[in-house]
Amino acid sequence: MPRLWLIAANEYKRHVLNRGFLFAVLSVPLLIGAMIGLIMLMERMRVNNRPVGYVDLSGSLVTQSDSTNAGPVQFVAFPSEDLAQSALEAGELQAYYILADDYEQSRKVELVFVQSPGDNASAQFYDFLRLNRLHKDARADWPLSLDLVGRRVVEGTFVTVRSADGVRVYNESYPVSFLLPFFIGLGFIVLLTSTSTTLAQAFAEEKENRTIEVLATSVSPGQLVAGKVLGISAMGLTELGAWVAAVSVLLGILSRINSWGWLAIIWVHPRTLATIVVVAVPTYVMFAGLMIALGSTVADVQESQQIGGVLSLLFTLPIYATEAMVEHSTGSLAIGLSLFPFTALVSFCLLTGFSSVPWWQVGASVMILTLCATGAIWLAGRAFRLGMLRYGKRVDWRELLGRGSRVPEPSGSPGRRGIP
Amino acid sequence: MNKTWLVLRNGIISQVTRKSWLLVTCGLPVLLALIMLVPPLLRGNPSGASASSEPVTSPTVEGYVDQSGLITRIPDNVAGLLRPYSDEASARRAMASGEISAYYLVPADYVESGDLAYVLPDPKAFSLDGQSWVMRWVLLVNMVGGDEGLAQRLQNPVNLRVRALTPSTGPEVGEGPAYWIPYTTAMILYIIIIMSSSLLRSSLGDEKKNRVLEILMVSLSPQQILTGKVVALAVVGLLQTAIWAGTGYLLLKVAGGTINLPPASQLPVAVVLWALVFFILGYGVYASLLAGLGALTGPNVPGSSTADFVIIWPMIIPVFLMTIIIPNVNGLLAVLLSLFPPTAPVAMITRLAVGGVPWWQPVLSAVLLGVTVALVFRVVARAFRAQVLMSGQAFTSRGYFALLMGREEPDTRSDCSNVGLE
Repeated sequence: MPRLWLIAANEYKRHVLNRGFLFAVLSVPLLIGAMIGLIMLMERMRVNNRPVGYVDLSGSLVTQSDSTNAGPVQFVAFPSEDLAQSALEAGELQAYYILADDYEQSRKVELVFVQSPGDNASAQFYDFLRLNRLHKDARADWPLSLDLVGRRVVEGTFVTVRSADGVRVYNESYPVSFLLPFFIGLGFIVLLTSTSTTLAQAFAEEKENRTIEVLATSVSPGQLVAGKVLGISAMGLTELGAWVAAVSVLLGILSRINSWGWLAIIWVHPRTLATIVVVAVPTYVMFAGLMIALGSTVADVQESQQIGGVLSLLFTLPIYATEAMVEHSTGSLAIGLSLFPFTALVSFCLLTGFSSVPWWQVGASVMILTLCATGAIWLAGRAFRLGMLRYGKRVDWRELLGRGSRVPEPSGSPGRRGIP
Repeated sequence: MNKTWLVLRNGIISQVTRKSWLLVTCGLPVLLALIMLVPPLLRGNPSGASASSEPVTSPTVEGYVDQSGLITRIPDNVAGLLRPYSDEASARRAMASGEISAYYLVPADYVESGDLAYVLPDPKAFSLDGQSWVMRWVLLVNMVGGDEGLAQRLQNPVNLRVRALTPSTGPEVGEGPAYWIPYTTAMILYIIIIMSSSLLRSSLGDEKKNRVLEILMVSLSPQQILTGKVVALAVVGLLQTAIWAGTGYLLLKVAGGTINLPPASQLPVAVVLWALVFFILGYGVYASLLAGLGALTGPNVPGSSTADFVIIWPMIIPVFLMTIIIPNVNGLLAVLLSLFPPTAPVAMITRLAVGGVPWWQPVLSAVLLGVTVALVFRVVARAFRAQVLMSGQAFTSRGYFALLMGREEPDTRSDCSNVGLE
């Protein structure tokens, strides 16, 4: 037992206490920070608070007042287009609008600019027109006061969509909550691929540099496999934990600076979370087992990376069919991908977050995954025993599954590159 | 020259006959075909049209619970589509029995808060709006005392025409095809450069590992090896791109879609030619640097991925800043990034695809890149021989960059190592 922990601790320290790990841990929050910064910069670039002119040829607009223009952009009336154009060319305006003489009937408006005006300026001008219209057409028999109607017309209606069972809530103003299961799924995928490929590499590497032959003299195969799985899983959890902590701190700081209220209402239903976790656990065990089998059977580290990469790609396959799966959650594609062990995790992250999934589907998938995980562990143990002393030589999959001959061919023993 | 040709020929043949290369080259189009063709077939929509382009379903009857007391009349154009309920429980029962397809809950403070709940049996993330336009319209009409004409004007106050007083009459940048055409062009260039450079790195890494490089050095100069390898992998990269592009074109034909892009979506021939120039030059810089790294480290050693990232990072910068470059194609940032050699290939091709770039800028950028290629090539070739002697040495990024700068680290001179002496 102590030897198992010794292997686990050594594996953990070997992967965590190096600059590459630190770099990997810091790169994700830095990347997210850079992306948020870029989005904020883009948003800022779309805002332009310089004055906007207008030429009202129809004479239908009322004089600008606080009640018709409360935004940061000032609207300046010009009696003729020549004067508005001169002001635009002199840089006094970002753009100007011309209301056609038949605006009342046709609603024709022309926007003139040198460079496209800010999104906020256009939106505010439309509100300016709406409020003007309200002031002109207001009637005493309206059920609400003019101010209240004006406020609602400008601000609009905030629709919150929810499912009948209350599990899923989509707020169009705060999309983070309903994207959260997807992000949790992505976190699991990163954890899964990073730890599993590291596992495959660890076994292939020790086989390649023959450390495994030395280790086999003092520890049992079971201790070696369990120790490595524990150590590398702890590494993956450390990585994920560090990312979550760093991103939380980063978002906390940014939300304090920018007063982001939406961060406080991020919410995910416990049932959604539970579904993802019960699917993720056997998926992880299955993938880890397969990667150990892979690391023990391939000839070198590079080969394990290539095959591991292809397997990891399989995990993300449902992302390419997101819309088809979500819009037809009871269709054959969605059911097929959610039951196929390699694609189940991402499928459930998408289905539970963006659509609905019946209990039988979750149960069936967990059962299939558990069976596959058990098979993968059996395969890993067998592959390890068969492959650990074969330097530079693959273990045939037929042999691994017990169908082929167990006796290695003479040319392969002890291996072409095995003789120093 | 003859030996360079031999290296080149061998480089091409050994790459294109590798199982992994064939798998990626043929597998990607197959995967693309599956993604394009299978989901529509499973949805029973063999034409390949996406869900959003399917015919709009006819409006269904929905319920509402008005706790605000605002709704007193239902406009004629949506009459029959809404059914009132006194409380949420009865609306929920009606939805469960199939009497209505969804219901709205208008809270008592709707006018102050603007909040509206839309309850559906199984909402889908890609069609959340559903039929909510009906209730928005009803609320607006009721707020203005039932005046539908006024409500319509409030919903859509203008019939807009746009006039730009700029000298160029090109399409508006930053939206639609004007945004995704430069974006896609630059991304394709970025992927091809990275992919071809990585292939070269991996190829030299393998030869380093097998000690083939040491044998090659006996009869070939570093320049001959590097030139042969770099050109071979450029040819392989272009061949792969041609196969993918050809398959993509065929897939579009087979899927029933003809390539009938609007004029604004088509790339001028000049931009395609410039893309080829910037691919060759950009590839020259990155392939040389990664080749040096591959020759130094072998296929994979701890720490080498950090150096890989440091080398590739400058090319990622314009990809990140594309959303700023595209709308401000002649801004200071865009010009600087397109003239600075490590960021130039992606940044300049993005700008060229948008249009309106002064002619001298791509020329200057190409010249600067050409000079950089020559310098990097020379430095990497010089460092090549020293790297071969470092076989088995532990890799450090600092050591590699010091080697490129012509300063060998003290420990690189020790010619025996734990792995090197077998």
